[in-house]
Amino acid sequence: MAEAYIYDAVRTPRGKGKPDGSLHEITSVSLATQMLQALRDRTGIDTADVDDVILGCGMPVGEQGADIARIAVLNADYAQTTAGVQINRFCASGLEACNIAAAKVIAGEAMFAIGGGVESMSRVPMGADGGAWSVDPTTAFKTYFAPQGIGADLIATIDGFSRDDVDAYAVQSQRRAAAAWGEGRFAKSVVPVKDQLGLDILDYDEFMRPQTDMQSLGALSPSFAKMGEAGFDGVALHRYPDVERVNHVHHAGNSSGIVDGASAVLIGNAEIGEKYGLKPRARIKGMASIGSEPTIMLTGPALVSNKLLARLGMTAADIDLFELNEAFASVVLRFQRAMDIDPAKLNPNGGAIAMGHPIGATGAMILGIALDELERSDKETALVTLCVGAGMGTATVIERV
Amino acid sequence: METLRVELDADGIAIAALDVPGRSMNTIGAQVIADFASLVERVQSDAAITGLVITSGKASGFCAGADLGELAQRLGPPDGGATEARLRADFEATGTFSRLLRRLETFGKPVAAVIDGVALGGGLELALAAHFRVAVDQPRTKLGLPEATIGLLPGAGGTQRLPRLTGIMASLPLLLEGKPVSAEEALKLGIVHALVAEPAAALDAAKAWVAQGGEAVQPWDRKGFRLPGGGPHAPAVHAAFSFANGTLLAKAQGNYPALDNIMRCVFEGSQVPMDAALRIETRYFVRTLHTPQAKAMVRTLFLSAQDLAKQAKAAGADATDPVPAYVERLATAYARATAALVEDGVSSAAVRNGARMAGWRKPPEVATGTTEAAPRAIGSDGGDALKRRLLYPLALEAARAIGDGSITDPRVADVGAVQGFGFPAWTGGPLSLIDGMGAADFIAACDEMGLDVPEALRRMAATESSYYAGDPSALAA
Repeated sequence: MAEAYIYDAVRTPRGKGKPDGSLHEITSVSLATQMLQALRDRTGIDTADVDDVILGCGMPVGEQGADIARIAVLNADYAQTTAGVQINRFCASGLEACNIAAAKVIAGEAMFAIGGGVESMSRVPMGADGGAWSVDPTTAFKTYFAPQGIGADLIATIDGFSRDDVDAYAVQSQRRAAAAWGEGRFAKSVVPVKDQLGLDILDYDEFMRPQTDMQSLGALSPSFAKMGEAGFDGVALHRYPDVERVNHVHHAGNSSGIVDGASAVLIGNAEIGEKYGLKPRARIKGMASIGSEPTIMLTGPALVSNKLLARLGMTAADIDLFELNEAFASVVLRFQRAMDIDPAKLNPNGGAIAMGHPIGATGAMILGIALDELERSDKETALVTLCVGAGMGTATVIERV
Repeated sequence: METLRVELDADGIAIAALDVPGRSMNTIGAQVIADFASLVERVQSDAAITGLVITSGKASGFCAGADLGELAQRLGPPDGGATEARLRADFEATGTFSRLLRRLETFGKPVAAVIDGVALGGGLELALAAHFRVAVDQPRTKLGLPEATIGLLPGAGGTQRLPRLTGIMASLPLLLEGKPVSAEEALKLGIVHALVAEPAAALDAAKAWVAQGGEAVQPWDRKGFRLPGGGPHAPAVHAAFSFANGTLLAKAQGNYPALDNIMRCVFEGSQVPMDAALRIETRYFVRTLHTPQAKAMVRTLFLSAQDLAKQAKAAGADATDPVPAYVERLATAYARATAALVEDGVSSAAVRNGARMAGWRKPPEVATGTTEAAPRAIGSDGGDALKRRLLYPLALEAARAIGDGSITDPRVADVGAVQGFGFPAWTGGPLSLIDGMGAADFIAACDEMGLDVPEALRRMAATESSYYAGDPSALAA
C-alpha cells in the first residue's frame, strides 16, 4: 500500500453568499475550474497523472448538478483521461473528498488524486436540493428531525454554554481571522478569483467583520427560537428528556457564515511527487467518518476524532493543532471540552464564523489552513474535523513531512 | 336500492337522494356502498342518463360519514398478526368505497353534489368525488374530515382530493385536526364551487351545471394539472411541510399513528397520479385500522362517549355520579406516581417531558423534589420507562375503581378519565390501555415495576377475560 501525501492546497477567498457578494457573478463551475487550474499551474504537473478529481458539493442541483467535478475537470483543460466525481457528505464534503482522494492513492488506484469542493451559496441556496429527511414524514418522525440550529442550541443547553460564552467565542474567531489575514498567514493558499476578463474580482475573505464585539453580537436575536416554539424544541425534549427547555443562544453572528467558495488539494504517492520534483508537505496519516445522534446532529467531531486517534494509536495530546469547522460556536466549545484541548491550539487562525462556510468546499479549505499553520509554526501533527448534517463526523490526521 | 331514491328529470339527469332507513343521519355502510355501486352502474350504462346529482333525503344533513359500528369490526391489531393474507384482504375490502368513488369521477358522466347541512368524513369524501359541489350557505352546513379525532384517517380519497383542491399546506389542519369548516370557508378554500342561500336553489344550481355542459373531468385528471401551491418538493412547500412534521411530532409524540399516516398519505400521494395515490391511501388506512389506538379511540371517544351521553340525557341530573370522585383518585395516583419518580432521582424536567411523551398536552403539576443530589439522567432511551411509570399507576387505579365497584361500567372509567382528567386520548382510557396490551402482559409489567396490582384485575387476567370482552360494535347506538 502506498502513502498519501499532500503536495499542494489552494482555495478561493470566500465571497458573501448573497446577490451582492463579490463572487455571485462567477459561476460555480468557474470557481472549481480556477482552483483546478491553480493546482496544475503552481505545481507544473501533467494532469494526465491526475487519475481522479473528487469535489464535495452540498447542493448538487441546478448549475451544481450533474457531476460538477467532471465538468470542471473538462473546463479546466485537464487531460481527457482525468475523471471527476462529485460527492455529498453535507458540511464535511470537502474533507471527505480529500479522504477519498487519499484512499485512492493509498490503495494504488490513483497516482495523483485531487480532493476539494465548491459551493456557491448565493447562486444555489441551502435547501435548493430538497431531500427526504425533513419532509418525508416517515424519516422525519423516525429520526426525530430537528434543524441544525436547534441542535446547536441543544448542545449549548446541555453543556451549559451561555449566550456570553458563545458570543465570546465568535469574537475570538473574528479577531483571530483578522490577525491571520493581517499577518499574511493565508497568502500561500488563497488564490484570487478571476472574472470573465481574467481580472481579479476577489482576493480576501470579505465576510469578515473584525469590528465585532460583545455589544454588537448582544444586539442580535436568537435565530432558532421561533422554529423551536413551532415544535422543534418539543422534538428535542422528546429525545433529551432531561432538558428543561432549550436555551436559544445562536444567531448569525456566532454561526458559520453563508458564503461562496471553492478549494482543491493535490494528493499523491511518493513516486509521482518525485517524478515532478515536488516536495511532499504532509502525509495523510489517517481518515475516518462516523455516524452520531441525528437530532442533536452536531456532536460528531469528538466521536470521530476519538475513533481516528484510537485507530492510529494516538491521543489528543499527540496533536499539535486542531481545525474544527465553526458550524456554530457551541459545537467548538463542546469539542474543546470533550477533547480537553488548549484553546490556543484550536482554530488559531479563526474560522467559519468569521470567514464563512461554503458547505461543500470548507473541509478542504481547513485542511489547507491546518497545513499552512503547521508549516508556519513548525509543528508536526494536525487533526482536521467537521460536524455534519444528519449526525455525522469526518476527520483527517496529517503529519508534516 | 334501500338507501338511495333515484328519479330522472326531464333532461335525463338522475337525482339520487341518500336516505338511510332507520337512521337519523346518513352514514355510509355496506348497504350504501352497494347501492351506490348499482347507481354508478346504471348511470354509466344508460345512454339516456346525461348526468347525476347526489343529494340527501334527510333534513339532518348530507352525510355524517362512515358507519362506525360496522367499521369497528375491523379495528385493532388482527388476531394472529397481520399476515400477508389478512393485509391483502383488508386492502381489498377497505378500498371498495374508494375505488367506487374513483369510478364515479372517471366514468365519463358529469356528477354534481348538493351539500345542505353536515358533510363529514366519508360523506365529504363522496362529495369530493363529484365534479361540481354546491353548498347551502347556512350555519348548519359543515364540511370536515374528523376521522383523525378518533384515530382513523380519511380512507376514501380525502387525503388525496383535498390537497389537490386546497393546496397541501391548507389541507393539513383540516386533515389533522378534523375541525369542520363553514360553507363560506369551504368556498374560499376551493372545496366547493358555489354557494346558494336556500336548499331549493342548490338542487337547481346542480342540475343547471349538468345541463349547461358541466365536464365530467376532475382537475387532477386534466393534462398538465399542477397541485395548487406546488408539491412537497417545491421549495416553499418543502420548508413548510418539514415544519409541519416537527410541529406534529412535538404535539403527538408518536402516539397517534393516524396523524403520522395522514402526513405520509399527503406526502407520498401528492407525488403520484390519482389511482396510485388512492392505493397508497388505502394501504395507510389499513395500517391505521390495525393499530390499538384506532380500536381504543373509536370505542371510547366515539361509541362510548356517544352512548353514555345519550344515557345521561335520558337519566337527567345524577347526584350519585361516580366520575368526580374517580377523577380525584386518578389525580392522587398521578401525584403519587410523579412523586415516586422524583424520589427516584428523576429531574422535574424529565417528569414533565415524560408526561408529554405519555400524551398529556399540559402535564399536571409536579411537586419538586426535596433531594439535594443532582438528578440522574434519564437519557434518550428512558422515555418508554417514563411513560409506563406515569400511565400504569393510573390504569391500576381505574382497575381498582372497577374492582371495588365505585365504577361499574368500563366505558365510564375510560370516558371519565379522558374527559375528566385528560388521560391521554390515544389510549382510549386506562382500561382500554390494559385491554390493548392484554391484562396478562400489563400485570407482568406492573409486577416488574413493583406496582400494586388489585386482585380483581389478576382474577380477570386469570380467566383470560378483558374489560371490553365482547363485540365493541354491540355498544353502538
